[in-house]
Amino acid sequence: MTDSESKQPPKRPLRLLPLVKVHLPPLVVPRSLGWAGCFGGLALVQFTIQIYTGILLLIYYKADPMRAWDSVTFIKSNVPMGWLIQRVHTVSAKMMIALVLMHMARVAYYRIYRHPREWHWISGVILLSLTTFMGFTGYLLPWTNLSYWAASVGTEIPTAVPVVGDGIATWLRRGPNVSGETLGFFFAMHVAVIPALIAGVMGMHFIMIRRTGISKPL
Amino acid sequence: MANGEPDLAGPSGGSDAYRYESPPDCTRRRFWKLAIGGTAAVSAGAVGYPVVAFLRLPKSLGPVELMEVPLEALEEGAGVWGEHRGRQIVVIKLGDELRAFDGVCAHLGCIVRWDSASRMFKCPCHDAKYDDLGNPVSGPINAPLRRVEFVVEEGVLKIRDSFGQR
Ligand code: HEM
Ligand code: FES
Repeated sequence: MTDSESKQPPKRPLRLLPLVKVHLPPLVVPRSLGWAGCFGGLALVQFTIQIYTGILLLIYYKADPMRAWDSVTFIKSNVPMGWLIQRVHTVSAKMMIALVLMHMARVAYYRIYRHPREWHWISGVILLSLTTFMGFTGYLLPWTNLSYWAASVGTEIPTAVPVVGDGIATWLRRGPNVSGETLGFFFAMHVAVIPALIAGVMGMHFIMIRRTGISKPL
Repeated sequence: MANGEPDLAGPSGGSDAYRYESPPDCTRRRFWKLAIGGTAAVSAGAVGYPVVAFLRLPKSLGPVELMEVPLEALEEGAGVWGEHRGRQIVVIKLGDELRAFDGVCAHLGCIVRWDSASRMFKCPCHDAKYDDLGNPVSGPINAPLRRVEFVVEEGVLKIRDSFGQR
């Protein structure tokens, strides 16, 4: 760089295409990357499916104990293609958790978690927890018998922690028992807080992978 | 091919008579372009169609079709079916009393039938039976049929149930 260049950076229009292009082929991945290498990417695909089906469900879903179940039934039986969108959201939730676990199994088997990739693993464990929290909070939303008891049992778990456990359970339930307040709380977590956290941690996860590259067998 | 063997596929050598030339509009590249492009288009349609369809106005939120039955259409013991806000409704007349039900079975949502001979609602799907008050009698059900509100005005029965909407 010459002096004049460093003083006066050339004015260039912001070009977005190159930012996209670096992520497109020819992107070099190791030849040894087998089919098991796609699970992480598939989990990302599931997440995008959850986002767009989730946003569609939000059009009709009512986070109110008197109307939640009716609103889900309305989606399934009255909204065009609602039966499909609702079911895709439910099934993809399970698939996403399965894919994250399969992705982690591969990383564990090939011991990819070792230096310099320990933070990949740590952020991955956070992503797994966040994904199961998504499943847990989402499961209460249709306000069925099963949802109610699943949330009751799930929020019982922290009571095993000494001293603060009972307080945590009450805090999660927004009261002594699962109620309409719990529904509102879980709803906010499910559609706003946890998805934002997942998107953020996923972004960091991907930047880390870009930094170290995809691992090759030793 | 020095020994004079014909080279069937090679781009060079061999006699012209044996050389295969793709017609210009039928190349390997074009085949893959069509195959990959076609798969992408079908996938995009399979994902896009349900999303666009979901955004359409559900029939039951559109201009409301309210069910009305002239009283003279109701015969003793018989059921009259109609659609109200997108739901299948049956009205039965038993003596002086009129009753209206949402036809959706409490089990898995099939539409029940009114059997005037036995005075029971019977579900064709898994054989649930309900009495003429809609209460479960037998089969895989433990909940009643949903009663539907109506009024009778000037000799016409008008369903008034909004099913919790609007
Ligand atoms: C990691 C991603 C996600 C997972 C694992 C997940 C999981 C679930 C589950 C298990 C249910 C219950 C469905 C049922 O049992 O019928 C549900 C419901 C729901 N989710 Fe999600 N979800 C995710 C993302 C989202 C997002 C991003 C939104 C919205 C922005 C959303 C909105 C909803 C709504 C409105 C419902 C209630 C409707 C229903 O129960 O079908 N979800 N989710
Ligand atoms: S749906 Fe009516 S008996 Fe199963």
